[in-house]
Amino acid sequence: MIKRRKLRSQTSQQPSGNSVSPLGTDLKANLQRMNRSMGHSNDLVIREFRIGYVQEDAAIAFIDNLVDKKIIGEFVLRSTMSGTADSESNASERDIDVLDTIKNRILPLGEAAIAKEWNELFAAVLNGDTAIFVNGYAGAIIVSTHGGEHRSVEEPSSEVLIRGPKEGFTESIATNISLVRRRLKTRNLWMDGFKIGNVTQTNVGILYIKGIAGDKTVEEVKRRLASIETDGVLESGIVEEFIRDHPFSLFPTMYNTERPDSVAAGLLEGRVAILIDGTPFVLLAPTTFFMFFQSPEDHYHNFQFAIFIRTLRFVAFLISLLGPSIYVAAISFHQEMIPTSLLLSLAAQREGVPFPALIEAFLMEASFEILREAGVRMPRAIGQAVSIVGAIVLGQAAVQAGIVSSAMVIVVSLTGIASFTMPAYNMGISIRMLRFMLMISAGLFGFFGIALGGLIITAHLCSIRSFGIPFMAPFAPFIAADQKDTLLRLPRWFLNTRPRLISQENTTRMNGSKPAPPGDAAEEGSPDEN
Amino acid sequence: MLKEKINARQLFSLIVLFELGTALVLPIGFVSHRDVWLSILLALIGGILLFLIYDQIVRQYPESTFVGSIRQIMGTYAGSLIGFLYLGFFIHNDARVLRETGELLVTSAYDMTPLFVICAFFMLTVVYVVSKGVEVLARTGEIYLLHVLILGGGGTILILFSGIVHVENLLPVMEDGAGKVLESAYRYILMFPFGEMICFAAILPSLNRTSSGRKAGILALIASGTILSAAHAIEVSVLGANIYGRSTFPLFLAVSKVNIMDFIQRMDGLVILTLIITSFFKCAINCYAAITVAADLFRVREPMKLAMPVGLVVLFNSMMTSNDWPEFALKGKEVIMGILLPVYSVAIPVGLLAVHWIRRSIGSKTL
Repeated sequence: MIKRRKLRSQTSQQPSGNSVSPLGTDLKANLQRMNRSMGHSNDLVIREFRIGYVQEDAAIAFIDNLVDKKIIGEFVLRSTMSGTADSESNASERDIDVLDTIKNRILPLGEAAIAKEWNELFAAVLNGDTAIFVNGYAGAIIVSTHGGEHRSVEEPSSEVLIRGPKEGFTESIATNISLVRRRLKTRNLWMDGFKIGNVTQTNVGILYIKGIAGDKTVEEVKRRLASIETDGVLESGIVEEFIRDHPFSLFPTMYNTERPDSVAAGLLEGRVAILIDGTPFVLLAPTTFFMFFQSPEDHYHNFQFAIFIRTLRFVAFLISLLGPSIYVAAISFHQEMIPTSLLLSLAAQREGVPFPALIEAFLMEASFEILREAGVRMPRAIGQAVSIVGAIVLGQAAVQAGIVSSAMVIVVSLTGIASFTMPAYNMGISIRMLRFMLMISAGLFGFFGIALGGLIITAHLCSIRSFGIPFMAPFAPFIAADQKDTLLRLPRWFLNTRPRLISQENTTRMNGSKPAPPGDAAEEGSPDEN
Repeated sequence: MLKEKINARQLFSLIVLFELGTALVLPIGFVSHRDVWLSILLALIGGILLFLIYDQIVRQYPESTFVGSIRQIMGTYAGSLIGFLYLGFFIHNDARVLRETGELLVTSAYDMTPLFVICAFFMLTVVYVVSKGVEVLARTGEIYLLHVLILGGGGTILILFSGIVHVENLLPVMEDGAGKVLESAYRYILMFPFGEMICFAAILPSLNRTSSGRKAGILALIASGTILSAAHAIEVSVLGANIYGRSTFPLFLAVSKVNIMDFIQRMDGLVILTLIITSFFKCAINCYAAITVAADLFRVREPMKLAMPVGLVVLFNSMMTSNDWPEFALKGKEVIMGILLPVYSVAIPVGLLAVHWIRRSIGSKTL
């Protein structure tokens, strides 16, 4: 206990511990201090040189591998070293503002600032910037020289589409922001930055479209992000856990995606995107339950197909949630509901099975979950072996050995496959866990148990909110206008409003234009941009 | 005090679910077997009038709760006394709903499960949902109304398609004269299920616009009355008046006769599901009414903390109310419909409104 407290006090002191003070004027002392406070790390590169312009000793410091050395060579070193003492500039200007002059007149770089304080300086250098010290001046010029290795933009692996953009987010927040900005070329796309994590100092950005996103929601997101106190943020899941509503709920109340087009669509609906450096998963808030049933592809194919697929997905959701429990309930309590001929064949299959249906279902479901987890964790090369073992052992052999009935195998595999239709993985997780609870209640009380379980789940879903928006939004409370794009997906020109609760201020997307016949210029209704 | 608000649509859903509650499954209107559908429609008029009375009482004091309104009409002491009476009534009524549901489940499918266990788990669910507040209850109601309508529609289609509906069973209309139809309408059906609407007097103050309650309530009553009437007409036409009158749960019997191509048969499960959902809401609404009344009487800041205690009282009350089903049914017919419901859902509300009007007219004269 004491140890933990000590640790915590250490971690909380770390960022400010050794560097609240302003920079000194002596170059050597400054460099020494920098070296010392970074523990003489090998990757801290300090290069001393002489500035041509003022003929002063100077040095640059940067972290190897975080910077683009080409920029440093071309634009930092070359431009500062070259040149001689400028006869035009008078002495007084030189004395007062050398740092400013260098920044303003010499460095041909987009981003540059002057740091007067160690804290600021370290934050910048550790972020991949380069610091320029000049002897005799208490301050350092910070120039942006981000570089280093990044994964390039690839097709997102967790959300695959047949039709749709193939770009996915990467681990670099700068790339991710650019991917979004390229899709929303409006000056109303606003951004706010945070640094979260006492040690990691992770860049976190929120993106929203001013005038569409609710101001209250934006404020709430900012407030919650600002109140995070932790040493490190490595993935958006960690941020999500800190800022989500109802942390004890099984259901995810924030949406995450790897796709820039999903984020752009979310922003257009008035949601707020939270981008975290170091992960390709971007969070969207507020979220509603039915968002998890939608894939961006629904909007890229024709609407009849989209309606068909969404209905199918919802049926698959019900199967994956209730499949085994309905089977268990029907077999152990409500045999009369099963058609007689089917019942006879089921009874014949179950004759040799020693377990009650509930145990049977549990055995199969548990082994399926084990297989699935193994499939995720194991090295790729073994994949084939495991799937063969899984298919034969769990399928055929278990039935032949008389441990489970073949009907059970069908139910479990159907359930498993149905659960893969869920476009959002995190909703799939909650369904997997709830399935076991419902199986227990079905084994105890049949349909009565399932109905009670369903009531509890529904009531819970109705009680939770995501950033102030009821989670079951277009159904409870029922909003007729939002039904157009929830379980249904009407043709584009009907989708002229944004989700009512999410963007309360600016709900009109377009002025109801219909596709014009060929030849006529389509009267494009542009999204309102103030 | 009433921070949580529901809207008119949600009130509509709750009323429909409440009315369908156990009335869909149990035989109602004991004396007019064949013409029960007519009696329901007749009783509907009275039901709407009763609802208007409740709405009128609540409407007089839009800022206060049900007990608050009674206190303002009758004065603090008499008002509190009436509040206590209502607390007991709501709890007992809730216990009866619970018991009915439990008995039905035990007789229909769960003959090996003890009644108490079924009731306990049912009440636990009710307590969980009610403790989340009326807003959540109402939203859940909105969603489940859809479920029930789909289930009901599906069930009706199955019954129609399996060719077991014999409309001639409904004829002749009013064989025993209009007297029996009226007696069944106003002596029994008006009390159960329409008279039980009194517990909505405790929910109406949570409406976001008090004025919207009247229209939503009337529409909901008409909708549920029509559904009930149609359902019972189908039950009679499937079973015949004789069997309908003698069976404990006629809807069950009717649906179990469904048989389409020897594949879809015995759809009792659908009925069980409908019954569980609708009586769940009936139970939950009664429970919520009891909780708000109790919170008002005992001045509890957070009413929903009372969910568990009230739920426990209801549970044990439901176990103790009678020893077996015949006793329970007899009590229901004689005591509840004969004395309690007429007093609590007709006499007291009418009296309250009368006192209110008299006091107001005296007050305005003296002014």
